[in-house]
Amino acid sequence: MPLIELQNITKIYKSGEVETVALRDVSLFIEEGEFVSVIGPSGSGKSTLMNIIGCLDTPTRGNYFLAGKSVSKLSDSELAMLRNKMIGFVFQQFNLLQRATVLENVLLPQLYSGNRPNKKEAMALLERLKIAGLESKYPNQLSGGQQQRVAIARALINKPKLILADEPTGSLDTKTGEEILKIFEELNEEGVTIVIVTHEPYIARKARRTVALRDGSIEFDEHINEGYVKQ
Amino acid sequence: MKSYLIFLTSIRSLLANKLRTLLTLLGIIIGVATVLMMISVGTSASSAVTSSIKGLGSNLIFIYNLPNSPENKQINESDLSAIGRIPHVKKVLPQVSFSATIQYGSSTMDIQVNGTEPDFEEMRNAHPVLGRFITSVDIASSAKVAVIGYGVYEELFKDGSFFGKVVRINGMPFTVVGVLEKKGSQSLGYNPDDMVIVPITTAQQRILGSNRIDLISVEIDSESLVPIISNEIESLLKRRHMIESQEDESFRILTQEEIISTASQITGILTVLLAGIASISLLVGGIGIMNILLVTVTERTKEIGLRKAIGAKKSDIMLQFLIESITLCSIGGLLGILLGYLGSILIARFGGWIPVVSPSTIALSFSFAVLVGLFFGIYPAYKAASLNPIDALRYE
Repeated sequence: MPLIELQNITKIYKSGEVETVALRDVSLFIEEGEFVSVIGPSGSGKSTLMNIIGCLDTPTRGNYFLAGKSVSKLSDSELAMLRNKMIGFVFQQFNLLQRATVLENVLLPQLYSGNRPNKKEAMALLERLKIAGLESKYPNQLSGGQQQRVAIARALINKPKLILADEPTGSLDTKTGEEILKIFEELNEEGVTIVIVTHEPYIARKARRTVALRDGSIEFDEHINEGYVKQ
Repeated sequence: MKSYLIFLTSIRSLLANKLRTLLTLLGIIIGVATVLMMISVGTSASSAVTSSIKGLGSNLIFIYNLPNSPENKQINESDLSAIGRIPHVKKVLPQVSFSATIQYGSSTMDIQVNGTEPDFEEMRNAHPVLGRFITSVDIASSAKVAVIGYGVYEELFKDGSFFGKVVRINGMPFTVVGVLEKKGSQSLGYNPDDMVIVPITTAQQRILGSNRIDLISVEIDSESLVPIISNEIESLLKRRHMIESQEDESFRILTQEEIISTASQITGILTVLLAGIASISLLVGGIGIMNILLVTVTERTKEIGLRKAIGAKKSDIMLQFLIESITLCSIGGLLGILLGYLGSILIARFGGWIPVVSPSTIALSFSFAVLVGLFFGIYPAYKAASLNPIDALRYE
C-alpha cells in the first residue's frame, strides 16, 4: 500500500468568473520510505500539489489516500489532526515563533495533539540535529541553518511518517543547504518518507526520485538512483 | 493541559506588546471603574435618602397642602384637634416652613425656617446638642427665640459662643437658645443642618402674618395601624373641607413607608441611569479591544497559518484569541474595580456620604468586563480561526 496515493487529482481555483486549473488529472503514488523531489517552474502546480499532499487543501476532483485513508471527505478538524500526527512540515522561511524559545517551538505540535509535551524527546531531537544547548535561545539569536534545524526538530516531534519540505534550503547558503539536505537523507535512511519541493538541481539529484510538473500535469517522473526512468 | 498551554501563549502575546496592552487595558479599566463608581454613588444616595427618611421618626403620617389649591379646602389649624380625636393618634404636630436669610454680625446665610411646637423634638428626631429646644412657654408668648441647626451654628458662630446671641431672621431679631445635633447632609439637595426652628406662633404672627399651616405630622401608637389611620384621616379631612371624591386633591397624605418607597424608586432609577451612562465607556473600551485584536490577527497571520499547518484546529485558534481578549478584560476588570473602589471612597468623601460598594456591585462590574471581552473577542477570534492556512503561510 502506497503512503501517498493521488488518483486523477484536479484542482481548480475560482476567482470571480475566472477559473484557473492548477492541477490537471494528476495521479501519483509514493511508497513509504521514498525520497522524492518535486521540481517545476513557478506556476506549474508544485505548491498546489504540496498543499494537497500536506492536507492543507482539498482537491476539486479526484481521490487522495494518505496511508490508505481517504482524505477528500475529511472535516476541517480531522484534517488538522491528520497534519498533526502524520506530517511534518519544513518551510523555506523556517516559520518559527519568534516569541517562543527553541524548545517551545519544537514542542509546539504537541500542544495541538493533546499529549503532555515530551521535553526529553525534544531535547534528544536537538541533540541529534546538533543544536543541543540552544533550547532556551530565541530564533532571532540563531543562524539560518540552526533555525532550519529547529524547524526540522519541530517537524519530527510527533514522529510523522511523512516530511514535506517546501524549498527547505531556499534561504540558506549552499554549504548549509547541503548540511540540511544531509539530515533529510539520514531521516530517509531511517524510513521516513520525504517529499521536497525545490529549485536546486543538486537537491533534485540527491533524491531517488524526481517528479517534474509543468502546467499542472506531470511532465516526467524518474527514479534516478535505481537506474530506470518511468514515464 | 492544552487550555493551560494555550493560555500561556495568549499571555505571552499580551506581554510582547506591553504598551499596546496597557493602553487597551486602560479603556477597560476606566470603563469598569466608572460603572462601579456610578453604581456606588447611586446605592449610597439611595441608602442615605432611606436612612434620612427613617430618621424623621417612626409611625408617622404626614399631611401637607398642595400648592394652588383653594384655601378653604386646605388643611388648617382647626383640623389639628379633629385629627387628635381619632383613636390611636398620639400626637399631632403643625408646622409652617419657609426660606429666609439669617444674619449674625457680618455673616449671612440662606436657611429653611420651621415654625413648630415642642413635640417636633421627639417626633422628628431633632434634639439640641447645646442649649434647649423651644418650649410651650415660647409658643404661648410667641417668643422670638430660635434653635439653630448645626450647619448654621458652624457658619455663624465660628468662635463657639452662641448662647443668648441675637441673630436676625429676615431682619427680625431672635435670641438663639439651642443648637441641634449634627445630622450630616443626608439627602440630595436638602441639608437638615441648615435649618432654624422657631415657635409656630412666632412664625405665623410675627413673620408671616398668617395662620397658615404647611405640614401636619401625626404620630400613631402602632406601626401596623398606620395605613388604617391614614385612610381615616383622609376621609375626616375630606368631610371637614367638603371635598368630593372626584375633586382634585388639595392636600396629600403620605406615610413614611410611602416616602421611602417613592424615594428608593427615584434613587433606583438614578442608579440605573448612572450605570447605563457609565457602561457606554466600557463599551468604548470593548471596541478598543476588538480593534487591537483585529490588528493582532493581521500581524500574526503567518503564525496562525503555521499553527494550523502543524495541526491547530479552528477551535484551538479561536480559543487562543478569546482567551487573550478575556484575559485582557479580566485584568482590566480587576484593576478597574480597584480604581472604582478608591474613586467611590473619594466621591463619598466629597459628597459627605458613606461609600457603598457591595460585593454584588463588584461581581456585576467584573462579569460585565468579562462579557465585554467575550463579546468583542468573538469576531477577531473567528476571523483568525477562519484564515486559510495556505494563504496565511504565504502572507508577508
